[in-house]
Amino acid sequence: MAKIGLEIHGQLTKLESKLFCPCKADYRQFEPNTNICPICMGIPGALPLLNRIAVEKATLIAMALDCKTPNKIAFFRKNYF
Amino acid sequence: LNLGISALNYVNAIKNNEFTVEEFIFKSLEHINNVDEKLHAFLRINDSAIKNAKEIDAKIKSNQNVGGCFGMPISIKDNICIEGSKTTCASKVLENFISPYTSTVISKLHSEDAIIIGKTNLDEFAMGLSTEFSAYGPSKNPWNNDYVPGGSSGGSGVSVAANECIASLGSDTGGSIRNPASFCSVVGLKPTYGLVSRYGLVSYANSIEQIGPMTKTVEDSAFLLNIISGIDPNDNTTIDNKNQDYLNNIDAGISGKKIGIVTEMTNSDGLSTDVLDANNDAIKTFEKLGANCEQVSLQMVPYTVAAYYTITSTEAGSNLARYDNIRYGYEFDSSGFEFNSYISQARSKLGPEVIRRMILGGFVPSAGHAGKYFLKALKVKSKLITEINHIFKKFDYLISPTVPIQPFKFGEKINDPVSFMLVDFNTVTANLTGIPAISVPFKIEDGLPIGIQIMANHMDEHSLLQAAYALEKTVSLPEVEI
Repeated sequence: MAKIGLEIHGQLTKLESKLFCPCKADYRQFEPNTNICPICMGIPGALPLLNRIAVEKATLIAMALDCKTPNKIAFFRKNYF
Repeated sequence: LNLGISALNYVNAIKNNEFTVEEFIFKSLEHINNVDEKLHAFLRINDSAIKNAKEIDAKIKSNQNVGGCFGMPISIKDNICIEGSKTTCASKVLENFISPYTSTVISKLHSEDAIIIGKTNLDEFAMGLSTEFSAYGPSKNPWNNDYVPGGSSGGSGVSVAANECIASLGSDTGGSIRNPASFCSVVGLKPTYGLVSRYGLVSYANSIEQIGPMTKTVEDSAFLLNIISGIDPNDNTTIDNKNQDYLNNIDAGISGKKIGIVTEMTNSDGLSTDVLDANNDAIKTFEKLGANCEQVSLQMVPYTVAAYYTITSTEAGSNLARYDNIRYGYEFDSSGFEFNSYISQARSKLGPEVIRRMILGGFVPSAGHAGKYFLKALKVKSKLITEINHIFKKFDYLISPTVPIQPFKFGEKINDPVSFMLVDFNTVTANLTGIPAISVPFKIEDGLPIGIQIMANHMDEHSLLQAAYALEKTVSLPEVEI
């Protein structure tokens, strides 16, 4: 039987900070490379820091749609080839 | 003034005004100057060390609050970032990389008034177990300069063993703290995954690696763990340890404790008879101390080295993709290159072991091969975790030799990657399962060290250090002559 998955993206426009670091998410009124830090620049040794509010919002949607939500968040990098 | 004193004794000596911080740091630098040309533990020395010492002496003199390290010299593996100074990972690619920020462990050491005496040598990007893969040349084993010091935190192990500093911080992805601790006859602790912040540790295989102490005594490892452990808002994987004091009751003993001797780690093909004999002596010692030892089987262990290299290569492939000569690295003109040849040229300064693992890391998770390699490796990891969880319901500790062999000669294994990988046989289990493990110096045989590994359940460092302390107190080893 065919399995069909849907990947739906929604923009979170009201977050104060970026998804993976504490830098300001609002870039519109700033020069490029203003809101940057070692994490979003990918400086060696920096680790991604997940935005708690973003996770809460995604979990709310998951709960509203009666999805299973895991207790632990796990990261996997995508391997493209 | 004895440069070989433990961290705890150093603190007491400073408190008793036996010497000043400046005197100790000056002597340490003088000693490094005398021996490090031969040993090559250090890649760089902190040229502000004397200035830092004077500042701490001034604080002591004027009765200001002084941090618990009282200016003790600590060396740091050169894959841990300190703002404004170089972090090369012993790679030519990061030869000129100056970190714009400081790692959490270093901030914690600074706030306790430790003096970072210098940055130590390692296998390039922590990939290796002999320092032979450092782009800046290997470190030498202080017990016999013809032999490797272990790795990848080899420079850290040498710096502590040779009394060039009081303690060191290394990192352990598959044994990189415990292996050089065993080879150099120092204590090396790989904490529970998440107990110590990795913010500022240059990633190799981020899902399993940890920063940990390398010290002259078990108590010193507990002392340093007190400082560097705990939750960090800059590392999402850290665990709250409620400011546990690992020194408290460290001498409680192990009477009545149950110890499992891991069968697969004591009957493997690569195990040397001298190392097996030492392990048997350690078992007898534990029994004399009142513990009950029995054989226990971990059936996944024979597959762990293969799983380890599959998982770590995959993560290395991702983590090292950023070394593209665009953001850091060395500079050359990109004109005249098409994309692939540019990337290939940009990566040509990576060493042979890093290239091997990046190629492997591109292959094993790739479409058409992932099921055969990467996903299987994850299954081994998951089954091993189930086995470990089950075993720690019955046992307090697991023991094995830290490394199946004693230090080997330079060049002996470098052309045989599989024999190299098998040296990790006893250490990778703790990384794949996240549990804490410690190597305790146990014996000097034919002039070369043998260490015993003790493992404990998740977050059981307190009890692990008690067992390590009990074992340490039964052995009396010669001082290394340099």
